[in-house]
Amino acid sequence: MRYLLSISVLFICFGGVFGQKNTLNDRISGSASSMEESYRTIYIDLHQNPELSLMEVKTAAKMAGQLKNLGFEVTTGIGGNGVVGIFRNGPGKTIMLRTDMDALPVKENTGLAYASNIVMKDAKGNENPVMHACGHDLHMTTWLGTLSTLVSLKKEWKGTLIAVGQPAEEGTMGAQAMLDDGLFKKFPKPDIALAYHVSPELPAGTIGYFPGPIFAGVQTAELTVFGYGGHGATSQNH
Amino acid sequence: MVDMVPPHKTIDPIVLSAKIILDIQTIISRKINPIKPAVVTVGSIHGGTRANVIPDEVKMMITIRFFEQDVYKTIRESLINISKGAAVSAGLPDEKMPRIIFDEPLDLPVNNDPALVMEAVESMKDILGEKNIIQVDPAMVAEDFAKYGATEEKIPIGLFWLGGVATDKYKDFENKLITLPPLHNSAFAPDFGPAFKTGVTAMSKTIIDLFGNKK
Repeated sequence: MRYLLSISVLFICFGGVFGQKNTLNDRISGSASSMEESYRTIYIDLHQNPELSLMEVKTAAKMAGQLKNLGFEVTTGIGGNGVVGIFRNGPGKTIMLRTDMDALPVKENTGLAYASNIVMKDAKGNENPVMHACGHDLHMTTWLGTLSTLVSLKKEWKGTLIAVGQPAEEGTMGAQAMLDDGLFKKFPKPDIALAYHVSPELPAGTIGYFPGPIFAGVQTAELTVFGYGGHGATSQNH
Repeated sequence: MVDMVPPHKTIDPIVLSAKIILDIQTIISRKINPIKPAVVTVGSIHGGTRANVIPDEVKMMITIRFFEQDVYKTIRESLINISKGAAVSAGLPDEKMPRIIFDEPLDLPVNNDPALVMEAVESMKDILGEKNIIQVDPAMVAEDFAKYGATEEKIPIGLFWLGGVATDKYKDFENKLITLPPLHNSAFAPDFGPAFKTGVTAMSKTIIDLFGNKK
């Protein structure tokens, strides 16, 4: 009898724990699913209106507007066009979630109904077709969707959420510019920083991870090799 | 062909560059520990204007990719030594030594914090299922997200791949019917719906758990 009672108590405890856990997972999944169509509109708008690195003015304004709507304290113009949003939700850790915002000088050839037709002048004054060929439009939309979910489930966590919209990832200038402009000094210092990059190789529905260095260090070098050219008989004088 | 100087009176930077390029191929194969991934690619070379003129200089653009600092140092030193050594052996004087300019600052590797990643993976598997959270090999691409983890604050960072390939395209790819456009390709088109839902679900769950909601 006592034995049976223990088992049933155990069952109730675990049942309770699992029930609660499933509820939270269900609510997160439900939030993501219910947002899909309205965020598709945001995605298509971003996809159709890409902006080159250091010129992400309209994109940054859109991100700032979305963050304000979600109740974040928003600061713009950090490290150029960078956007920082803070959502304070009681004592706890500070977690930073970052998206990049810029696009590339690529002429879109996807055949999509919402393909980009944007042409922009680059820093040298040359006109370039522009495309979100590195998926930063998807990064931004997923970032906003995640922040929105976290705001709607704010009773489930305590802490400070830092939303970073970074300019100029292509050319790898934007992160340094935001740090140099005081990202970790003017705003709460994060305990953790997280981000996604869309994969062109993994199927949608999956996440890829690596517990260690996941992307390489890169440096470009310019090498000039000199010689003695053949412009005339004088070259024998060397 | 009166305009062509006798070739033995020149030091031809094109031939010299060819030697240097071939020698550069031995950096990875003979200088770097084979279990440590690295790349050195001469991606651009320009020199000369026409067939019968030996030019004064050749310019090359080289990309270096690495995960560890000592590997980077070996590559950098080797590039300097190889190009200088070839110029010396060609008989060029000191003022004609090759010039090599390294872009600074370099892009750091994205050093994911292993403990943070595994904590996130546990959360992601809990909500999306074990089979959808996949360990991958590191990639030789760059991302300046690395910088947030490389300040004096030493903040643990975690960068994850968000799967973007539409399921039907992925099946065709697995059956070798198509190739998949890489990032920066004009045909790159992720499958918004499932990628968005997956990304939002996994990251929201991870962040709530990291805030300490684990029960």
